[in-house]
Amino acid sequence: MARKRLYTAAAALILVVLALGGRNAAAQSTTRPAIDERAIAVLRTMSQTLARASSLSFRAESAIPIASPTGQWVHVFGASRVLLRRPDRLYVETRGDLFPHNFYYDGKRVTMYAPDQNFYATEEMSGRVHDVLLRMFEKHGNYFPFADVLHFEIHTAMTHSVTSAQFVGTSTLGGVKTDHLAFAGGGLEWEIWIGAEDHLPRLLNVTFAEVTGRPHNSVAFADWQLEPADVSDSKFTFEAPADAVQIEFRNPGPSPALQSK
Amino acid sequence: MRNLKTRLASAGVMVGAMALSVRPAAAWVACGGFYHPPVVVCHPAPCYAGVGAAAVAGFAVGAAVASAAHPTVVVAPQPVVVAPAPVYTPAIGTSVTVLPPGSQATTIGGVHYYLCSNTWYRPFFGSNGVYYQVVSPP
Repeated sequence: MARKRLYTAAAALILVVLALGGRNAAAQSTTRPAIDERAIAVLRTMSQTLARASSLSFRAESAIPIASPTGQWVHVFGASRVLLRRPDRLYVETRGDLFPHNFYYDGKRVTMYAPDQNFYATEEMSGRVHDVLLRMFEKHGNYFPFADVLHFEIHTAMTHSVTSAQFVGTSTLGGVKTDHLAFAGGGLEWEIWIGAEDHLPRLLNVTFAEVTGRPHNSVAFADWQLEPADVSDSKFTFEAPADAVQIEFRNPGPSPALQSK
Repeated sequence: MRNLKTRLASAGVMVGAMALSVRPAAAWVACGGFYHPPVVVCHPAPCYAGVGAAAVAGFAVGAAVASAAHPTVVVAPQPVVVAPAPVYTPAIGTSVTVLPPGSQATTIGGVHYYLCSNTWYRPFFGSNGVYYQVVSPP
């Protein structure tokens, strides 16, 4: 008889403890931090894996949003082969919907070459690759959707304005098991899928949350090679073909309205 | 006429603002369908060579019924592709991504130009690729 009462009391006590514990758990879930350290750690490992390679190459397939006349965002595709040798050599071959071009940076000058028209434009520039890419964008509007992975401090560059980081889960892309992360902040919401074994980026989707229509661009990475065999200077130096014509960089301003005469 | 063309062909440059006497309608079809008299002779191949017969015929009809200086009908051949075929003379500064078909390449003073009728284009590398901008005649 006494034992039964003891059990009842114990059961009641357990229930009370569970109830209290449950309340605490509920309180915890509403104050879960916005930054999941696992996501930060996975991104940092990717950044370190890439930074450790003195040279690398990959293929990137991108979908870039452009505004159509109706205001709908439509996407054009581009495919690039990229060869990077730190600190200041870069070669990019781009084809697809985006105009076909080759980009050369040999540490002293940048050159854009259009193989279809046999035109090229060249300019003196020096510095680390990611600084040169930023200057190309600011000066001439040239934009590489995979530029983030060419940064020398990817982790810092990609997270400096992040206000939320989530480890979404794992996902298999093209046969590769990846960790799926989601970040937000600085007007962007972006997700990245990073190989769980090799810590290399496989897919990057970026949404411009503060732009009307929330356009997004998307880059898929493949054929990663860290320390590829041939990174000699000749791969990054532009040799003008015999009848190539040199033209200038110039961004088109707004077109004056067509006038009738 | 023949001597002028031969001289221009061998010089490889456009003569510039040379006023020419009013030309017959047939010649205007060959000069790409602009309804105002061109200030320079159309260099060898007409700018809209290869345009469908219907478009050319349409223009010929229009030119035939109009006066030499002010035809009332302008039918500019419209290529199917994205390139804007200028119905009017494009103002200087207009940018296009594809040159009108039949444009002639020429180099003057080391600078590369394209000429279609009396519109001069210069190629540039912009943020989206190579484009052509209407410039004043060199």
